[in-house]
Amino acid sequence: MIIAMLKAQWTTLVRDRVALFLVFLLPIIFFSVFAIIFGGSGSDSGGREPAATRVAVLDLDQSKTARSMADSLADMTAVNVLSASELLAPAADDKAADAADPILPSEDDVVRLVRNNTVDAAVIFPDGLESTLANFSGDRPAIKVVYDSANPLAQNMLSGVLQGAAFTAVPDVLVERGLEQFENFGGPFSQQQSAAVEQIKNLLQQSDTGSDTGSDSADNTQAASGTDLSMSNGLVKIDTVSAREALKKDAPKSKKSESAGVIAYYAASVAVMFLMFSMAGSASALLEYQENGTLERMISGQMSISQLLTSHWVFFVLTGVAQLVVMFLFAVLAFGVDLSQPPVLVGTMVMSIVTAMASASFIIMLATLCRSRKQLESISTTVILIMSAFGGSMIPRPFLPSFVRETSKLTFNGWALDGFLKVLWYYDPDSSIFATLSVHILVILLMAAAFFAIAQWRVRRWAIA
Amino acid sequence: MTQPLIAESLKRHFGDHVALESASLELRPAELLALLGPNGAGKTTFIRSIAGRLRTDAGSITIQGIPQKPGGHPEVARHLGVIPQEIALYETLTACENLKLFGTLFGLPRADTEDRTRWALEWTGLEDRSSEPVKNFSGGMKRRLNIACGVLHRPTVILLDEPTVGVDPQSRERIWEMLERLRQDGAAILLTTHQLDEAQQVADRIVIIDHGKTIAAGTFDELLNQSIGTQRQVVMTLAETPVKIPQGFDDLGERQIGLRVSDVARELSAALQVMNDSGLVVNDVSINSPNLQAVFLHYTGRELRE
Repeated sequence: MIIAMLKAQWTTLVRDRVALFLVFLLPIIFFSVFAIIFGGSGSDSGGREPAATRVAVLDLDQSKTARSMADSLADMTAVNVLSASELLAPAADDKAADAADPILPSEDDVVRLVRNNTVDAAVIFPDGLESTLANFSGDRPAIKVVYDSANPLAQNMLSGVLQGAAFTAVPDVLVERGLEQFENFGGPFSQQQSAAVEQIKNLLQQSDTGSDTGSDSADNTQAASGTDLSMSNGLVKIDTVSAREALKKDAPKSKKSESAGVIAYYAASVAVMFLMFSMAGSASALLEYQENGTLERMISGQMSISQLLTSHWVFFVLTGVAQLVVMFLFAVLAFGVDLSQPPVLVGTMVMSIVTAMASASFIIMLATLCRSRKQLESISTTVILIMSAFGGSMIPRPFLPSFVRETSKLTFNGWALDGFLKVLWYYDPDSSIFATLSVHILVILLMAAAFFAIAQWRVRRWAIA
Repeated sequence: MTQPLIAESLKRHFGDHVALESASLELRPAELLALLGPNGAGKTTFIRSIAGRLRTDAGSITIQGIPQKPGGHPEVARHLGVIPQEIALYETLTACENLKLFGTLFGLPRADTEDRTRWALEWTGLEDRSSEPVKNFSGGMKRRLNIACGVLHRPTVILLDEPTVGVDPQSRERIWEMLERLRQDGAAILLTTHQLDEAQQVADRIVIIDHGKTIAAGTFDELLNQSIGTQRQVVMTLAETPVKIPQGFDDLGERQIGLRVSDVARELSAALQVMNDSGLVVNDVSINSPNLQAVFLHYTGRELRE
């Protein structure tokens, strides 16, 4: 009897393709998605490793110490060192045109690189770094680590690495500083002693250039780096500076506004995901009307199927925009998200509108591709969750592996979240918000148009078979 | 004279399956025409073709003299009212809101929509419930409203699919009264139904289709004459199972025998005399008039179609 029941249930399952998909394929798809995202973080193969932290280096000291420390950073696999001067070459060239000698970019220029997400962090080696190395007095110049609070791990990592690099990258300089102190207190070296010192220094220089122990120890130091972000007690003094706060010269630094920016991103990412879910719910009504004849009745009058679909699309867009507005309003009122700057407000609204348009088109397309409500429910849930994982609704985009970030360019929500990120987080007051978002807006609108065109083509079968 | 609806020799195949082979009908002014057929005979395909929702492989459809085209014709849409079997309403909207919505979708001016909404509420007997969401309505109320939403634009040709399925006798009675009023106002109604007793009672003419073909058309009496004839069937229940069935009688089993008669008064007394002469005791006698069900089974056979 039990076997007969089991057989009946198995036959039922096997004959229900949707149920089969839900039972067997859906978990595999989800597993694969999360394996790609999270597994990629610990893997170093196949281009699935987390994106290397892009660090701009500005060397105002122009010293061997600064160069050695920069080299130590460059040796790390998790760090991609870029020259601030090269990144800012056009701007620097403009300034240099009027000057007799080429000039280095300003600290503000470098901070802006972090602020507008050209790089993830920046290290500024101050003038006088080498001459004050191992000087533990309070007035020594500090290395500045400029970080983006959307990616707070970078500041911890870089601070630790720089301290480690200071110990290992320039041992000859450290010996020289120690011997200088020795001479100050014990009197000058004899000729023989001086010759021995020179020999030791040459040996240290050779071992420095002939080995890669710097990167190893740097990696070790990275692992050991603590939470003391302003390391004034180390071999070098390090100040960590939030790029967001650094550009607000007159405004006091505020942890609240820092976190509010992150919250704004989360508001957008969650809103975009639920935008799709709620629209999928509404779109199932479209299939219900098709199934129960309401749709046929509606188009048997003066309304065409195309108009009917358009009316649903408009409704979805309006409710979608309202949904996003409510989400951002809540973020403003409850979490102090700052949308008071007109360009940020306009940018947020524009992104909300185009995102709602694309979302409406996408979900309506899905509905017209499905044959039943049940099919739409299962397929839309799967697709939305996968797109949200890739697009950055579940894990902030800065932490997504590069492979996932690239793949998300195939999804409208990936572009949407990237656009929201640029408005809410990386907005640069010196550039036009529309110039910043133009590519995103264009791509999202093109996707929306393509989805809607497919939907219009597919829906014809509801009007006439 | 232009008939409200003429469908001629419609053909439609779905792959290897022939849904319509040669389906034809003619709907006359202010007529109620019943379209009958077993399940799978092609009724729905036929109706959907007339409504413009299905392409036909061959044949022609004209509504008030205007050729219908696949996807619908705007002029035809003014004359055509389609009422599906399913309750095609917005459940969360009130009766009034549903009527106004569909009035607008049919292109009625606002003032006319208001007038027609009032008319429809009175016509369906839902005036007192006009502000309630449809989801609170009984099956009969929903079905009345379902019909009303399809005739707001005063169509002259109405396609009705199973208008009384699943409703109680009171609502059924009301629905037939509603349809009669439409007919009196000049609308021609084509309805599909499996309620053969109702079809016999209300339909002016009947069309029977099977296997995608129109196999019979005419008034009930015409179909009767063309098929089983007008004879009544006398059924006698005997006290015991007869050893031999008297000549001229049919063995109906379970101690029942039957006889077809044209003149009941004369032939019944003669039949009872035969029973008496044969020594058979008759416990009960019933006289059955020929009905549409018998005619329908005559044309379409008794085998199950599903």
